[in-house]
Amino acid sequence: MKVIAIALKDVRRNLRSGMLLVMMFAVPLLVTALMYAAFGRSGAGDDLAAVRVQVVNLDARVPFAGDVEAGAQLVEHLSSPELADLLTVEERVDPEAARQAVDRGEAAVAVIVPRNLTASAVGTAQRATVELYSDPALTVGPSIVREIVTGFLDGFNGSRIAADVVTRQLRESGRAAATGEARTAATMYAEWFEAHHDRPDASLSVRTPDGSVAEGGMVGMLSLVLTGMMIFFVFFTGANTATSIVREHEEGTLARLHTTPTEPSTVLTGKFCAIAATLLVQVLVLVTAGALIFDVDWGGGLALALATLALVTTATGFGLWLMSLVGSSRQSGPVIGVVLTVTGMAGGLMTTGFTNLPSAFDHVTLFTPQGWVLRTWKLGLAHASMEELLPPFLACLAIAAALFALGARAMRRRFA
Amino acid sequence: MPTALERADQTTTDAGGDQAAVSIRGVSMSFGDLQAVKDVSLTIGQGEVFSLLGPNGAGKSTLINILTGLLRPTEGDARVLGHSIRTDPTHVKRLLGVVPQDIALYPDLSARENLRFWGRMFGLRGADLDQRVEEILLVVGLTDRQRDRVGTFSGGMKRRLNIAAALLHDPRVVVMDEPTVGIDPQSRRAILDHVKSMNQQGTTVVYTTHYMEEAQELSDRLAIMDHGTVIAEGTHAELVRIVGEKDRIALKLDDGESDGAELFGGLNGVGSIHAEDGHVVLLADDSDQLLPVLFERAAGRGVRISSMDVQEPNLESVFLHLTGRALRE
Repeated sequence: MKVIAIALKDVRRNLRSGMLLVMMFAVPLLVTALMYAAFGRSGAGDDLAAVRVQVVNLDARVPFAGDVEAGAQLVEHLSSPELADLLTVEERVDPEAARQAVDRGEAAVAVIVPRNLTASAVGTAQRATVELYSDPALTVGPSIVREIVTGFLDGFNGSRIAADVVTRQLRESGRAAATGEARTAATMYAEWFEAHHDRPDASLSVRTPDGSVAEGGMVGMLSLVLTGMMIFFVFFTGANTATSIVREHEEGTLARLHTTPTEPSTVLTGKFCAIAATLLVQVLVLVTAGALIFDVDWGGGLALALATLALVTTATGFGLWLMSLVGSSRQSGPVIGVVLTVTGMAGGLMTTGFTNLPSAFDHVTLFTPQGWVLRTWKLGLAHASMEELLPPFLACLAIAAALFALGARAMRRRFA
Repeated sequence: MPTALERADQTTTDAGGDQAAVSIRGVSMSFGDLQAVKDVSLTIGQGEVFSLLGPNGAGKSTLINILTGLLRPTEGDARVLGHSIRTDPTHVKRLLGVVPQDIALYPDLSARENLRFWGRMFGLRGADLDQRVEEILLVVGLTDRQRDRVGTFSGGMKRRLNIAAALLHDPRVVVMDEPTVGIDPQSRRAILDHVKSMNQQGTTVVYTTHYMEEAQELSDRLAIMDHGTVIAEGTHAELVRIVGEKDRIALKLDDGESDGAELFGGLNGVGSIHAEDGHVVLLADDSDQLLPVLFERAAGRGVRISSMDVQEPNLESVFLHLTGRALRE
């Protein structure tokens, strides 16, 4: 009961501090919002006008190609809902009319699919060329269309390569290169590609070695920025609220507590619970705000729970330990500022949005508690498995326990 | 809940036959080379108001901190209602209500929140806690301001709340460490009246102060401390007898050449006399009767008395007599 009473009293005092509330909630969200305003909208494509595309499909069916229709597949791909934000596709029959539409500025690009695209893909015709007719005054729109079309055609180029490989291997094994076998290989590849190119990531989970999300896009970057800011300011709150022990010592209320029938360990446990509870409130608010405001996908519920536990316990232990080193509350401000800035930077909290840092930096971050916490959160964001998540999580708990033990020992010596 | 007076009747059982509310035996406390308290022994009876009087740095607060469990004595032991501070400190803390010298409250909590918190630290909860908070707020006159944050209170209101927080659990012994420092006369009067009221209900009060008047007004018995030791102990009357219950008259003669001892020596009612460079200090059985005689004698000899100071025997003169310096030097 006394532990709860002490904890509630401290939480109440924390939540009545206007400055602390600003640092707990407003500042991390504000920094992330600034990043969002600076990069998010302009770079994500939401405000980018969709590229107007004229498509002319002259591709003809091929008798031996089975279900393969490369031209139709390309038109379907360009018109797919996934690309709707980027492209506005209009189909035409006449290539010249499409080109004139570009000339008149009614479209940025005309994509003209040749008659022999499928035949080329299954190896019954020579090289086929898809024509991109674009407005020379434009750069971004035509580049986007070129990348999309090239990526699509690379798949069908694979079928030609498959046919060539079959032909060469047959020749090397001393057999005559049978046209039918090579065509079958090309057709099979083309059919496979047709069946799978709409969902290229279905069997692929791309992740960097440190667990950071490899997916591009602003939301992924903002998730990391908010995570870094959240960890930094949760550690700040942990240290700041741990100052209450020093402050109570100076104000005389700690001595008064010791004149009551309350064990020093009860007082310290109450303080610990108060810090942890305050940090938990902070994390829950920031996580909820991140999901609602910035569309952050925090990963699975269990992963989020483990990451939250890792953050709250480590920041609490770190705060207690750090405050056990300061002589007075006047010292605590500069100490918190310097130590948390240095360890926060070394822990990678300020550079979560950067992708071009040396890989050695990932190892440097693990020399700080913040680095381990950040790793746990990144794995959660990347929907990592429990096997991947548990080691950094357990490392955080071990660090938290060690820091708490050191801090509690020093505090008992000084204040008990 | 029984009153303090009723509880005092049960003390013999609790204390294992020890009738004293507080018993201090051979307590010493050193901080490195500095010996703050030297072999102090005191006995405070139940229902007494006992004052520790002494200048700043005399060792009063250190002795109080030992008694309340904040410091562990280098030597000796103290018992509160029979319970040792060494072997049973938690029980001692339940019996004591401690009013610290400085305001020890949470300024960002309301008066009510502060009292509820300190009540919980003494194990009160639920309806008992609510009832005690209401009673204490009424006693210290803060019911109307109970929901205001303590940081907005005046110094006197904070002092009263500081005392209230120590009384929530209805302690048998209240230790008050200079509770009137730095407050206005009205609040000071209220606190002194409250101490008397508590005592009338049977609560033992251990009161430290360097204000002689407070000690004189409140105390059944008192001890004077200086340099970590108790230099005198007893009732006010007993202590005053140390200086012989004589009034102290100090005179300054205009004629510095006159011999004060020769001038006033031999007069009826004059005790000891000390004269030097025109200053005369003499002890008198009754200053009211003697003063006209002194002026008549001086006028008759053509000597003018330029200033006069009369002190009836009090704790200040006791301290002066025992240490050679004033209490507030």
